[in-house]
Amino acid sequence: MAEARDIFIVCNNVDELGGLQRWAHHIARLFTEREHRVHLVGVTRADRAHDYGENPPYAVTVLHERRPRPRRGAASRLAHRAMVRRGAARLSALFRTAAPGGIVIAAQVWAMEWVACADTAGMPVIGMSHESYAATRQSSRYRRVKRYFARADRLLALTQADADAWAFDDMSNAAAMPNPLHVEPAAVSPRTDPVVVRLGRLSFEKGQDMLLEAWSEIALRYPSWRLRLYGSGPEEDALRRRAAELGVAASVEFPGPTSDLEGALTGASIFALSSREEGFPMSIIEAMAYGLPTVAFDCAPGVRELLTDGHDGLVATPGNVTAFAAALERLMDDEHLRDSFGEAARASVRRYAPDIVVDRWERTFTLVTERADRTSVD
Amino acid sequence: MDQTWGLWLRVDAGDATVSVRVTSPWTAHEDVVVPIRPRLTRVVGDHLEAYVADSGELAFRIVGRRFPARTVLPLLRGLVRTNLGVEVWRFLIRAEKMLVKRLTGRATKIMIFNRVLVRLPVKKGTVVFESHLGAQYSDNPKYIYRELRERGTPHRAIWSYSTSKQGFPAEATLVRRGSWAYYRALARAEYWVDNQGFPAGLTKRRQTTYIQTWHGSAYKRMGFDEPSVKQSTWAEHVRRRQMADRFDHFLVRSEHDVRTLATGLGVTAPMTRAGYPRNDPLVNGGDPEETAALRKSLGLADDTRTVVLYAPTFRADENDRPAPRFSSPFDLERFAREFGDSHVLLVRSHYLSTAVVPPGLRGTVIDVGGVHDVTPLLLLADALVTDYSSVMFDYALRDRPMIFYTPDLDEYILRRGTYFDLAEQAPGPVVRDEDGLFAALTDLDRVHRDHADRRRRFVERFGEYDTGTAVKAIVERFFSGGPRG
Repeated sequence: MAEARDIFIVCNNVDELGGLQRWAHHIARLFTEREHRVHLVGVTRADRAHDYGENPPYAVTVLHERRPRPRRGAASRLAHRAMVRRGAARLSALFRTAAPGGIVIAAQVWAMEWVACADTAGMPVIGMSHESYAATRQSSRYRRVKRYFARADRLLALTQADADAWAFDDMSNAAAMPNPLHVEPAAVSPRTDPVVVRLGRLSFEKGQDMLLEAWSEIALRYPSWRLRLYGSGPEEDALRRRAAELGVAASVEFPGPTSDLEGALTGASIFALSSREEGFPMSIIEAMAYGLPTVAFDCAPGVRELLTDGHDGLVATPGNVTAFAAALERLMDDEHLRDSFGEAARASVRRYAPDIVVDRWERTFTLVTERADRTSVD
Repeated sequence: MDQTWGLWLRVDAGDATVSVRVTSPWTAHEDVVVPIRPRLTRVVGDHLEAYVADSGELAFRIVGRRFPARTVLPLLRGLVRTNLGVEVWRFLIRAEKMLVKRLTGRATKIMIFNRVLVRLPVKKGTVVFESHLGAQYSDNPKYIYRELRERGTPHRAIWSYSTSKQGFPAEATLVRRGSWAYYRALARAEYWVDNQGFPAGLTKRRQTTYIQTWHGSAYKRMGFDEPSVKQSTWAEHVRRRQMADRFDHFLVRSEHDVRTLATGLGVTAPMTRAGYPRNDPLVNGGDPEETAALRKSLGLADDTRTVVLYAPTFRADENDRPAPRFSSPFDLERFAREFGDSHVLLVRSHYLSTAVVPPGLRGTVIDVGGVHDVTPLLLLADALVTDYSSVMFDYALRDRPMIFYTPDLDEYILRRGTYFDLAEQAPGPVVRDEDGLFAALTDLDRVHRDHADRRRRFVERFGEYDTGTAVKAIVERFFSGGPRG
């Protein structure tokens, strides 16, 4: 058993319904199970709070009750700085309660601005990037990552490929840390229902439009098969129209959002990930855990890290809907291939079993605290 | 306040670059003194003198020999050495760089274009021409321009060039792409004519008519049908839609273009079903004098060998950027050995790449990448070797032998996606390896004979509007009334 530590996980917010928040509560719980004292810190509150369970076994703090207004102009920039200072003061006070060996994890770069301003003396700071290097590169977050995470003791990316990309970009503190598997399947998909399933927000980034195009290339040849798109979002109307335009409205279902992940996945035979951008797609991990073969666009290094093309899934060139359709077709045609991929996926995803991932975290904690000790002796 | 400058010698050889500091064992250079006026005026320095540093490296420095620099310069140097001085000086340098970058940047020019320049009155009769983002004087814009010249219509032509004026018509007004003159010309033009795209972000005013001729029919998927575009960000989608929305007329040479190119690019403008002006000469036989002149310039004046044009499409590297250097996917030396007496090979890489031809093969393998316009090359060539380039649709009009050399066909289809099955439709043999290519080259007559039917069907399907009257139709339709208004 590693030594028990005070671990502060600082996020933009901790109550929104989203992948990052789900990860934060999950990892907080896992750390707590290893006797660590976890403090989950949200910089602000979400507009619409999601219920992550009452009385969590770890402390939850929110720095600012009111969301900051968007930054524009010199006056509001000053206001923003004043707010960061106020929030950072609260953070510093929290950090001072830590016993020696404490760790600060800045899970998002926006939150890191507060951490950077706070007093973290004696505590290593671990920054995290929960998306692919390429996605950050295209966004305004890139400059903030370079600015705020350069001095962190570690910058953790989701995959080794992303960590390498950051290292090439002068972030020599980069390393990889996968997200832990967060589902414990009670049942596994029998892979008998002729259904291709996709869960996720109906939004441009998630690429359901490309999935519909791919579907339209094959749907007519497979009248018994259905494409089931769970979720809601801004593109819903456009997607329904697109399905009609492509002449596949009859074989595409939009059942809306669901909280019954198990039902959704066990009722299907193939999982399709059509996103334009991803980090470390949790939805693939879920599908693998439930024994589904996956067809995915190669849109982030995370996809290749999770799937082994031709072993437990099929990976298509990003945006190539014809190749995506061909991959779906290959699996729809071949029941044995679905079974062998599905079973291989279940075995492969055990790499991300919570125990294994938390062990990696604890090794990282030991490494960065030892380094911090050495530096303070110098 | 950079007072000293070093001298470097930079040698570029092939892909390698070597930089060395220039050193000097002598002191004679110390006599070199040039009167100068620094940006901060003569108050801070009046001469530049050469000196040899302790390390033996040759350098220059600013000195003050006369009043007032003689007093001001040492004072200033003292000042910028203080802590505060260093800070202030750094700030000033950074601020200046930022300011210059902002003022001359593309974003500023586009902003000024959209807010100010488009409010200037339109100059009736001005036409801005551009081909391949200013890389060439070629393609449909060139042939429309030439027709206007020949007819002597009262239009004023402005050609955009990207790097060099070389090869552009001297009698037209030339503006460098991206310069202020370029944006001014675009803002005030009555017509825009181009084959690819004027800068994204520019708002086209209602009074300007934009004729988008495009630069070839499509085998590979284009625009929103292209995998890399399909998966790109929302911002990129919006940018492309805005660019396509500016077109007022979109030129096509077949219904295949309407189904593929126009949808792929997201064209909302009406189609102009006139065929390509650049292909008129391919149908009519072109100007024999022009072809003879090109023959001569390539050193083939009295050459009776069969001229084979090799024109592959461009190859992207792993990041989807054009590979800067083109290397032949078949053995050029073997070609020279086996066909040197009977054939001559013209190598035409894509306009974004340069070909490297070994010097030993001169006379048998000729790089024609520097020739702006491909049409005269198509007139000259007795046979064509290509892979997926749109040149296949144009050359088919010549009814001459064509060979499709496609060693990477399967991978290309998978990576890029295509609109039809090349093996099924190609108007010539589709060969996958070097031996197949060389075998086909040996008997071009047979290639010609065996594929006559397929060539006819290919032209019917992909070039139905290319009947040799495109430029006439376009000029009469859009430019006949002289300047409008």
